[in-house]
Amino acid sequence: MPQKENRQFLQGNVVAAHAALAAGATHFYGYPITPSSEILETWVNLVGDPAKPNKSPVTKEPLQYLQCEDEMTSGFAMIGSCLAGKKAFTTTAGPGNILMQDAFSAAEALRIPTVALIMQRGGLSTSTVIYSQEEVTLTCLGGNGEGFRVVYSPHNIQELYDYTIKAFNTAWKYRYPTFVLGDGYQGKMHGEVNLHTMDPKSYVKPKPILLSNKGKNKKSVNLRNCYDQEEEIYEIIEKYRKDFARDSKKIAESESLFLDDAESVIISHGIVSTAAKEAVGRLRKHGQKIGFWRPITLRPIDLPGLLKAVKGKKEIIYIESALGQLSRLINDELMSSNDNRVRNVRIKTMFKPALGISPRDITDFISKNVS
Amino acid sequence: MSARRRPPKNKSSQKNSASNSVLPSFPKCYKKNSKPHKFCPGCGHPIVLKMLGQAIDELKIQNKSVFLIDIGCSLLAWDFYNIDTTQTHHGRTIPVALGFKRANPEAVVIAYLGDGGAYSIGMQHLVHATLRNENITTIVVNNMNYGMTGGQMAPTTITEQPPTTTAPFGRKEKYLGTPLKGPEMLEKIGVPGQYIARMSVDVPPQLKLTLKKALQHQMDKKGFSFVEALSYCPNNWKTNAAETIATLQKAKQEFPTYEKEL
Amino acid sequence: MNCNLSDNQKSIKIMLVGEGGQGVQTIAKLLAKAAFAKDYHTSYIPNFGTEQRGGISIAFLQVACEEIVSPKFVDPNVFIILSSRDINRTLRYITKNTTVIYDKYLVKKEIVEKLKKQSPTVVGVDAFELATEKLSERSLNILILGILIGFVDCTLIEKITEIMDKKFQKYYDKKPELKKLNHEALTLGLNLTTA
Repeated sequence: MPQKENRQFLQGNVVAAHAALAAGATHFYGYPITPSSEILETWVNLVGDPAKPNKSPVTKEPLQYLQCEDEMTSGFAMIGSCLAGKKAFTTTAGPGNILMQDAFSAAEALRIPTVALIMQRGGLSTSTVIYSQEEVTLTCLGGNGEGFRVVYSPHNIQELYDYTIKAFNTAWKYRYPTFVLGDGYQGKMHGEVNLHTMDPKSYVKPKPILLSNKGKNKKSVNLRNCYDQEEEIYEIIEKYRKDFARDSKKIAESESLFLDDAESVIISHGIVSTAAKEAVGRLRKHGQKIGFWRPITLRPIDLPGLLKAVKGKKEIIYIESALGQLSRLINDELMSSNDNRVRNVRIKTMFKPALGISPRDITDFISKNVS
Repeated sequence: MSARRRPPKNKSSQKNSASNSVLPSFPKCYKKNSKPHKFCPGCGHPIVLKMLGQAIDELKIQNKSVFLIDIGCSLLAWDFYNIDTTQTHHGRTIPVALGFKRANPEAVVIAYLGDGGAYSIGMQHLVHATLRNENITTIVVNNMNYGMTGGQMAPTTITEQPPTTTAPFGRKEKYLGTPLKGPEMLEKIGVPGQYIARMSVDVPPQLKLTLKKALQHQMDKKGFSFVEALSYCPNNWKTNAAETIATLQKAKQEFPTYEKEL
Repeated sequence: MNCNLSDNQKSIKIMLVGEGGQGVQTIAKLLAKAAFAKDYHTSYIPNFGTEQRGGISIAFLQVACEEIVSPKFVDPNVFIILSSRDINRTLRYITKNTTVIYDKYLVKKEIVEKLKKQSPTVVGVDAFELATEKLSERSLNILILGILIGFVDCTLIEKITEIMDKKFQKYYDKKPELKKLNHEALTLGLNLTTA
C-alpha cells in the first residue's frame, strides 16, 4: 500500500536512487556508465558530505558510497557489505553489466541478497548509450550459473520506483541476487512519479551473514564457494533449484488485459509494454480481439499467469527491442507444458533490436500481420 | 593438483596432542575438525596460516575477525579456522573485504590471496585499496607460480627458479617480462602511515610478528596494511627439501625482507 | 485540471532535433517541467549519441491532459529541426499530420526538400538569424522554446520564465544582461508562432 504521497516530475535514474533510499539501502558501490550514471550521482548527493553523511530515513544509519575502480569492485564490495548485514546496491549497464556478472554469479552461488539496477543500453558490445532490451539474457542468466536470481522489469517510472523498493525486500527475504532491469529510456527520461514512503509492513530487516553470532563459544560460518567433487556441487544446485521453484510461486508477477475474449495476445515487457498497452487499447476500439500480457518478473516467470494468457489462443505476438531475448525465456516455459492448447499456439514476432517501439509501430504491425 | 592427505587422527590422539604438548599445539582459532589441512606436503601456506592463527590468538580477535580468501591454493583454507570465512576469486577478495569493513568497521577484516590474484588479474583492486587507504589487512602469499592450476608462470616468477609449465625455458625477461615486486610498488603509491611488509616463510616467528603488526595496524584504525609472505611450492617447483630451501634463498635476493610504515 | 492545450488538443507530441550543444535537451526539459507544474501530464525522453558535443541530439516530449502510457512515439504533432545532421534517421518520424518547423539558416535546402516530401506543413523560421542579429547566438534555444510554447499552451510562458530564471540564476549573477536576453528570446519566439 503506497504511503505518504509525494508527486514529482523527475528523471528515471534520480527516481531509482530515491527508491533505494526509501527502501532502507545504506551502502552504494558503482562505476559510471551511460545511461545509468545519474543513479550514482544522485546517491552521492543523497549521502552529502562523506565527512558528515546524511542518515537513512529507514535505518537512521549514515549513508555511504564508493565510486570504485571498476565494476568487479562495485559488485564484490556490495557483496562484502551485504555479508556484513547492510542493504548495499549497485548499478550498471551494457559492458559494465558483463563485468559485473562476475560478482552476480558469486552472489548467486553464496545466496547473497544483492540489489543491482540495470539500465540497458544498446547492444552489441559498446554500441549506443541510448536504449535496448538486449540485456535480458545477461541479467537473467548471466555468469556461470543457473539463473537463481530475481529480475523485475518495470514498465514506467512509477514502477521503477515501486519495484526498486520491492527488490530490496525480495532480496533479503529470499536471499537471491535481485535486479531491477530498466533501460536507457527509463533511466534518462523524465516522467511523473509519486515518491511515496515504503510501507513499513513490507520492510525486511537485513541481518549479517558473517559475524552474525558474536557469542563466546560460537561456531564459525564458513561460507563455501568451492567444491571438490561434482556430486557435492550437484547437491547444492539441486537444493537451490528446489528453493527457487518454491519461492518463485511467491515472487513471480505479471499483468494482463483483455484476455477473456482475446484471440491474439501481445507479449512484451518493460517500456515496450507501455506501447503495447496503448496499442491494444486503440486496436480494441476498432473491434480487434487482442489481449495483453507482460511478465513483471523475468526471473522467475509467472507460469500460471502465462498459461492462462496463452491457453486456447490463436496466436501470441512477441514484441521486443531485442532479437527474441524475452521470447526465448517464455517459449522455454511454454514448451514445458503438456497441454496442446498451449503448445499449438502460433507465434509471431516483432523484433526491433536496440530500437524504441511506439504504439503506432505496434498497431501498424498488427494491422499488417494479424487478421 | 591433488592434495595428499594424511590419514585422519582419531579423536583421542588429537586430545592427547593438545593436552600433553608433545606435538606442537594448534592455534586456538583453528577449526580442528578440518585438520589435517588440504595443502600439499611441503607447502608454505600452512606456515603462513599457522602464524596468522597465532597472531589472531595473541590479539584475541578470533570472534571479531572475518577471513576472506581468493581462488587458487588459498581457497583450501575455506574452513581452516573457527573464524567466519568466505571465498571469491581473481583478487576480488580485496573488494569483498573493503565492502565488509565499510559496513562493519569494528570487524577485523583479512583478505588472504595469492600472487596471481593480487598482482595480476586483480591488481587494480590492490592498487586502489592502497590509494584509498582502506582499513583492511591484505596478505599475499607469493610462491612465484600459479600453484592450483598446475604451476604456470606468475607475475612473480623469477629467472632463477625451476621452469614453470608456461615458461619451460625459464622466465626469460626479454620475452616474458620482469617479476613484479609488490611492497616496493605499493611504497611508490602508498599513503603516509600505511604498513607494508614482506617476510618469508622460513622465518616463522618474524612472519608472525609481521602479521601481528599488520592486524594491530588495522585495529588501531591506521589504514591499509599489507604483508607479502614469500613462500615455496615444492609440488610444482618439483624440488626436494634442500632444493626448495635453496630456491627460496635465491628468491630472497629478488624479494628481500621489507618492512615500512610509510 | 485546467486543460488549455492549443487547438483544443488532448495531447501534443513534440520532437526536437538538433545537435549536441544547441541546448535542445535543456529547453525540452524546461518545457516539460513547466507543463508538469501546470498540472499537465508530461513525459520527456532525451536521445543522443556518445559525443558530449556535436552529435545528433533528439528530444521526445509529450504534454497531455490525460495520463501518458507510452513515452516513445513515432508520430509527432510538431517536429522542430535545427540541424542537417543525420536527417535520414529522423525523417521516418514525420507523418502527413506533422507540422515541421525548420531553421532557414541551419537546415540545408536539400534537407528541406526531403522534409516537404513527408508532410504538407513545412514552415521555415529565421530563428538563428533573429537570435544572432537581435540577441546572441546562444539565445537560439530559448527562442525555439518560445516557438514551442505557442504550440503547447501560451499561458505556460510565466511558469517557464520562472523555472528558466531559477535554472540560469548563477549565469545571470555573472552576466546580468543574460536575463534580459533570455526573456526577449522567449517573447520573440512566441511571437513567431502566434504571428
